[in-house]
Amino acid sequence: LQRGGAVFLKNRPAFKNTALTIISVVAGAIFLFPLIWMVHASLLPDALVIREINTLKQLFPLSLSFQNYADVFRRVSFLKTLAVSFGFVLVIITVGLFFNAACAFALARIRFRGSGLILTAVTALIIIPFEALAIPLFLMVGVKWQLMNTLPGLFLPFLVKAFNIFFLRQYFLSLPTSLEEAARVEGASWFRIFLSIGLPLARPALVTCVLLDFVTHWSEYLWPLLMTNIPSFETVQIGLGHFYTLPPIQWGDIMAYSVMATIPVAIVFLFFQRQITQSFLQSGLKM
Amino acid sequence: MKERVTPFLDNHAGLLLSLPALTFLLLFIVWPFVLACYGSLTNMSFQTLMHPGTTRFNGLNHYRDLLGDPAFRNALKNSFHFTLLTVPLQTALALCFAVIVNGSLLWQRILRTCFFMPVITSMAVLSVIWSLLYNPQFGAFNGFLGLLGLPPQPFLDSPFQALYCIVVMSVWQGVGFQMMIFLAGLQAIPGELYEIARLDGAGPIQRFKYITLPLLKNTTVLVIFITTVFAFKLFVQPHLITHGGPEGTTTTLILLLYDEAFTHGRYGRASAVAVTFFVVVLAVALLQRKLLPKEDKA
Repeated sequence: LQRGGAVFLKNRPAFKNTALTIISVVAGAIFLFPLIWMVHASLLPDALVIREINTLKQLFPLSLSFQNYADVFRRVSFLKTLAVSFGFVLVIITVGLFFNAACAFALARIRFRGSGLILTAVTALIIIPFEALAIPLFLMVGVKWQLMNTLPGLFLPFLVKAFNIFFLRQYFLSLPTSLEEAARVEGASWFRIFLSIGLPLARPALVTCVLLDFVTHWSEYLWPLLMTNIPSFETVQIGLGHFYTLPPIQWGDIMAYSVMATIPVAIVFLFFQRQITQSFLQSGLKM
Repeated sequence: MKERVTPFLDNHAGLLLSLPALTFLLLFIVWPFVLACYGSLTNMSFQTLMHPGTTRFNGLNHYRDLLGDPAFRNALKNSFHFTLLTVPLQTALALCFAVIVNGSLLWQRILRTCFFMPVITSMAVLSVIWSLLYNPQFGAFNGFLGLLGLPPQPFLDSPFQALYCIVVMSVWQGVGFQMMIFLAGLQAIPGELYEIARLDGAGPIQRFKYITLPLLKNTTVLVIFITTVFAFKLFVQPHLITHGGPEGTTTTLILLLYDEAFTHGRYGRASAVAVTFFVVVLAVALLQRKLLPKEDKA
């Protein structure tokens, strides 16, 4: 761009913004090409997926169809897989979160013997990666307890998370104690205070945990891979892994499966975009 | 509020409220961790599991064997190779992206969203998509190369390119997350600093070099730490699309662990790999703590 152009842009901030917006949409589309291609390929007849993508001729195809999606439902029991995934994640973000919050509340608010030790232990546990525990967990939950291909087998190891306890405790500490003190004076038990004051006040932090856990466990791969050996109890991610190699290999079908495996997270992202990016941020900063 | 809980329960409320979580932590983190460490010192395997009583203590044999095992050394090498490539690339790219989208203008928000979208998409889905894009025969990437008049590449089929292909897709997937952390760091820098620098006649490059970079030091250490740990966990991509091949060039530490344990049933040996992996992660974490000033520690 020459000097004249720069001056022109400087004098017209609105024009500059519009131009930048257009450029960033194009740049964003290039960056997201793999995802756009996924959606695009899922809507193409199978013969076209392979032939046209090589030539870029049909980037804007004339004939779109949902045939690939119908094929997925015909070839595998996708809804069952979806239900397993949802069940797995839902238990973690409800029951699991409740346990985490209760512990976090106790550690932040109640002075009791051993609380210091517990806090140190919880903080130290954050560093242990799940991958290092996979073998004994498999031998315990899968082999000894015979929980393979069951929902508890999937969710048990993820119910309580040291990081969530740590994170929620920090949040409880940042809240004022006046309401609780008043309730204590009136004779309310700690359980009542946790349920009717602690939990409602911690809502923003709880939302953070829910969103983070939803996205993380929706994508969970290693553990569901170990815990399922029959197709009807696969999570969506593991189902995709199998569908990917299930003959006849048809790219359109595989991409339709991929799109459907992504839709739940995409919907959550659409509604909670700001909170999700913030949640990831907090998880990173506190790691 | 009406009180129904007995004083005894209320006096022990702290312990009672933490009890469910503590039970789970003990049962699903502490105990398995102990078992992993112990298991790595035994001959535990699928066979010993079938015949109770045949498990025996092995000492450090597994660790000694692993050190001499070409497969383990190869996996360790690949994991380090992948990490050494991914971490600088992703960190640098994330910093660039963060500087570009640091603001609240519409175009910056659009880009921010685009950069972040792969982060929430599952690795399994992304691996499948990228493996099709990398397909040597029909993949879009060779299509692009063809349009540019360049020869087609084998990508994931080549022992020389496969790991780099996984690096590219992994950097692409995770860069948005690192960008968000850098953004938080950038927003913590007081705007007046830039004003003063501008009045002193500092150009944008000088401002970046003398204000942004030094003040982002802690953020950078954090980003490098997180990226390193993530990189060492590399598993889904090689498991799903390359199976560790071609010629073992994409076999990572976790893939080796998975194969040893769940393909060959050598639980003891695989536990030794798991402990090694944990030691690497711990070392990285300790290094990070050392590099960060005290107030930034969790």
